Amino acid sequence: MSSTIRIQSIDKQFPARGGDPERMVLKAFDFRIRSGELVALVGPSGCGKSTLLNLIAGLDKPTRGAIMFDQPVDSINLSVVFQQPRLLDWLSVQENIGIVLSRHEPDPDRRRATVRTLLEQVELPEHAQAYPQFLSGGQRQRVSIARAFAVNPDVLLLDEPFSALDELTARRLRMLLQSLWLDETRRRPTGVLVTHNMLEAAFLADRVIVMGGTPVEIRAVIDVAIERPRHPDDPELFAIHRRLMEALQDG
Amino acid sequence: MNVKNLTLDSARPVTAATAVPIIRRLRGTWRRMAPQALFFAVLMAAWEIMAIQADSPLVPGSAAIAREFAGITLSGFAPAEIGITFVRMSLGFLLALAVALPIGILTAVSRFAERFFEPGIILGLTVPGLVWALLCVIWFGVSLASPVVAVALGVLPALIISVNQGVRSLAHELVEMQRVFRLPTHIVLRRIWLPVLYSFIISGCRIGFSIAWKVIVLVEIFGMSDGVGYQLNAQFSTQNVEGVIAWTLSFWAAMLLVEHGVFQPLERHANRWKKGGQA
Repeated sequence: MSSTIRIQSIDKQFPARGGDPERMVLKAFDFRIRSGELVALVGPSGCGKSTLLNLIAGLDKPTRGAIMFDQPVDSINLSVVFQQPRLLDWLSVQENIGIVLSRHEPDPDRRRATVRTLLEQVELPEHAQAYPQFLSGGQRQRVSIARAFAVNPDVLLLDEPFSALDELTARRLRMLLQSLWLDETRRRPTGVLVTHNMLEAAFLADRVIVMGGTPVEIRAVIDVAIERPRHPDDPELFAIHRRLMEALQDG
Repeated sequence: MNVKNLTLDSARPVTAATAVPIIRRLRGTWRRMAPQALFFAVLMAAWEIMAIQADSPLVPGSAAIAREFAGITLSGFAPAEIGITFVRMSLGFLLALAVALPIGILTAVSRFAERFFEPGIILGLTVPGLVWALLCVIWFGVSLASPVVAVALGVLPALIISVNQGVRSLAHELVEMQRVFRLPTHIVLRRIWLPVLYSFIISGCRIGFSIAWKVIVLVEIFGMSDGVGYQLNAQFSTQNVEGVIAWTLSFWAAMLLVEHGVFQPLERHANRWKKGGQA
């Protein structure tokens, strides 16, 4: 079951380090992400988007405040697609996906079947036995996406997932992500996407949060009311893109 | 005519397909072996010149050494003694590995443990193998414990450092990945830590084995009644230089076998996932 994410009066302060002064990135930050929606966070570099994502992922702790889900945090299935795929180089593609299933699916046959289905969905069935170093950057990120969906996540976090790829590959992977998101055979997670690409935000998200300032604050919330599946060349996306750029520049 | 052509056409590709890889493999083997063969030729030539120039029983010629080497090897005496030495080395080595794994991991993940064990590791690196050999013979006398403990003490610091570096090489990003997906501890240990440590342990074993050899010879000289070290000492007592060199050569040959038969295949296996790792 996907889960609402309630960010409640979060403070995040980083201590002074290496000559850098103490830095308050988030101050009394409040936000609510509805169950099953995909929210994109956009804003200038260093404004605190990735910090917020790390807090939701549990990789860091807030200085004050809390992040609440519908269920206790330990029972939430959480997945992340990182900017770099973060695959285990010594495991084959299918083992890289299978390893995250070890906690969820004790039956090895069903585990293998899940991995096979996902590899077909990300169009890599012939690379099941390959080691990651022998794949292209785009293929590696496909594996990372398959791994993220393998656990049937309640919450899916996407940390600039396509920013390290060339535009053509990134475009293909956005389409792939959309098709996985719309796949009716699995429950739809609650998603948070951090990106610098406004068109990507408009293409994938239900709502785009424009962030800025120090400590960070919400400058604008823009609803993307475009039917899915979306096409990356849809003129309406460019209209959203313009609004996002204006909101950023106003900030 | 047609039948003849068909036979020829079908036979030709089979011959070409089998001959080309054989020639290619022979060329590859020659390219690999040629520098090593050249090294042996240069070494033997230099030794022979030195022996002729010295004209002394203290510098025997290659033929005398070869005779001695063939004598101890073909009779099965050297393989048996080398076997004894290898068993002692391996036991000491396994003991060192069992201790090095937890300490190496601890020193990599805990600053306190790193500081706690640092003086001990430096002590281990600086104490000569001779000291461990003497102390162990004094403490344990003529028993299996002497060579095993001395080898373990001699090898331990190098192995701890290898394990420590292996754990540290595990990227922070991968640690975050395993935390996000909440991988069970046994999976993390078996599928992440162990493979990462594998290649570091193999390189540590290589260095450790060469250290172990230097320690075991000393223990066998001082406190054992068999093994390569004991035989070296026996040859030294009778001033049999051919014997000393022949025993050294036989152990060198055994180490080459271990290198090519054990360490290199293990290293290839550990690096099988790397681009060019099989090369």
